[in-house]
Amino acid sequence: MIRWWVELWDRREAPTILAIVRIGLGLVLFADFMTVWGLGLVETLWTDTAHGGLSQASGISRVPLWYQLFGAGPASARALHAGLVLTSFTLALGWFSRSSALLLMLLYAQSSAILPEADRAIDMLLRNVLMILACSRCGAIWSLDAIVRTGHVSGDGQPIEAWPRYLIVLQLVVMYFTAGVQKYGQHWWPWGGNSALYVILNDWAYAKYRFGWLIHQPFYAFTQLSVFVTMFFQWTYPVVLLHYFPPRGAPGIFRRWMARWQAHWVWIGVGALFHLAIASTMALGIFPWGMLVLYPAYLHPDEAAALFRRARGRWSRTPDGIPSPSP
Amino acid sequence: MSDQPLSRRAWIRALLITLAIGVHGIYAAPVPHIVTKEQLKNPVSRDEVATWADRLTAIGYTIDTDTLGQRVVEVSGQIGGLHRSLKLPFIPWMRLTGTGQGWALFANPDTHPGRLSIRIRREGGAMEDLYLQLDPEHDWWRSRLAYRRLRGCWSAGGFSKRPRSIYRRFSQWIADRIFAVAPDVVEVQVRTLRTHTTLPGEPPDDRVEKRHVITIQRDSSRAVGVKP
Repeated sequence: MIRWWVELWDRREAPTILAIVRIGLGLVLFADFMTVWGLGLVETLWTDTAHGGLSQASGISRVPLWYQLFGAGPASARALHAGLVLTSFTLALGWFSRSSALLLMLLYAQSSAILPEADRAIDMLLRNVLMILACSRCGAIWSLDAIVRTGHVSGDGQPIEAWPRYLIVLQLVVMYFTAGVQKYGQHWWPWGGNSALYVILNDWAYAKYRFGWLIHQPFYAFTQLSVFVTMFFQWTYPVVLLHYFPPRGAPGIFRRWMARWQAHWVWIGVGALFHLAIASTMALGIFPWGMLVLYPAYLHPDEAAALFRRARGRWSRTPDGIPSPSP
Repeated sequence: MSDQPLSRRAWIRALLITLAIGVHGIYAAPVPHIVTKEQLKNPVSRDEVATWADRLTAIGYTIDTDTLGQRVVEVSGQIGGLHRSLKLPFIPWMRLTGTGQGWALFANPDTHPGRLSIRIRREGGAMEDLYLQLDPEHDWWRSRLAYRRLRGCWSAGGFSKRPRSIYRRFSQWIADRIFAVAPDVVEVQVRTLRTHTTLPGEPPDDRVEKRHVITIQRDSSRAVGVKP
């Protein structure tokens, strides 16, 4: 059992997927921090009230480290923001990848400590992933690090430790499952009319548009069905782990069925649709995109390579359906 | 799985990962948040407790709403206290890194959501709407106010008797911005309009409850009136 556990975390694979997660995460955060700048909210979010901002952190018993070192004024806020922008960009570029991830996580944590009310669940999730990336070889390919080390953007072609990718998968599973089991509100249940989605889409704080029309059929029934699917999807999400962390011993009927039909993709597909639906109906900022950039972690690099080959083969066919000659 | 001996590095790695999973497992434990008596006074919670009391009674565990509410406060306090003490040794690390777990996302949808309203009064004039959430005719600073980080400063807390501290700071901040760009504005009012989302089959409820009304005048440039 212990050996099985140690071997689970000793797997190795090509570095492509982790690089994709690094680039995606870096870009999403870069876009978010640039949005803060574009909206003119840098000083608002990260200076204290004495300097025209919203933070009260300079007056609490545990003053954030950033305020202790650099003060709570506008220059300090701008420096923090510059650090966030720079490190998210260098993470995406893969320049000092691990250090960038670590520094970004620490600065991001300070931004949260300065104004906790502005920090959302997605921010914590992304910091968790940054912590994983900081301990990984996420810059082994498609990065400036790879160019500097090997002279080629594709790196040295050596496999890397796979555990960071599996930890990201585990993090996603934990998030979905615990989000599901904590949905205690009656509106998530049949005795509450499976009305949660309708209620949420009519919450002024989250709705992107006005959704009062959803009260009419068949739209209302569709929201009820979506609630049922969401609950089923989240409560049963741990079955995905059977694929990524196969238990010891010969597989039983269920595992064989899961493996034969690659059924874990049903949960992953539902999750992706769920986030796309959120992106189009709710004003949750980077939440759906921050989640979706982690989704490549579900793919083994070999699966990704096979998909890429298949897609390239399909696209490079002639109009008659005859594959183009290989170069 | 192979029969080859595992390296010392592999064992150390597995140990560290186990430790990390264990700590995050404590944080991720889906325990209920601590429910206070004050929180039980809001209509959504009252409705929730009443429904659960009905459900429990229907399956043979007879309990009335008040008793269940009291039980929820006690049990959530005990479990929450235990959870907090388990997390205690790791708090400094989690605080430094900003990491953690806790994914009670939309756990209890709000049937009485708050709608942000910002109004201004010009010299000698009456109050006029400047911003009303999701109202295309009053959408001043819509992008800013809808931005997720700023939204966190004015949303939620709609049930509490008095506005949260951050809501007051937000109100002051928005008033300062308005006074800076509009010299003729003499008064800014920030308020939350609480509406009621009813379900099909329920009678529509168009009542709007004005809550957390904060009025700030230019001369004093501080909150002169705060109504719960």
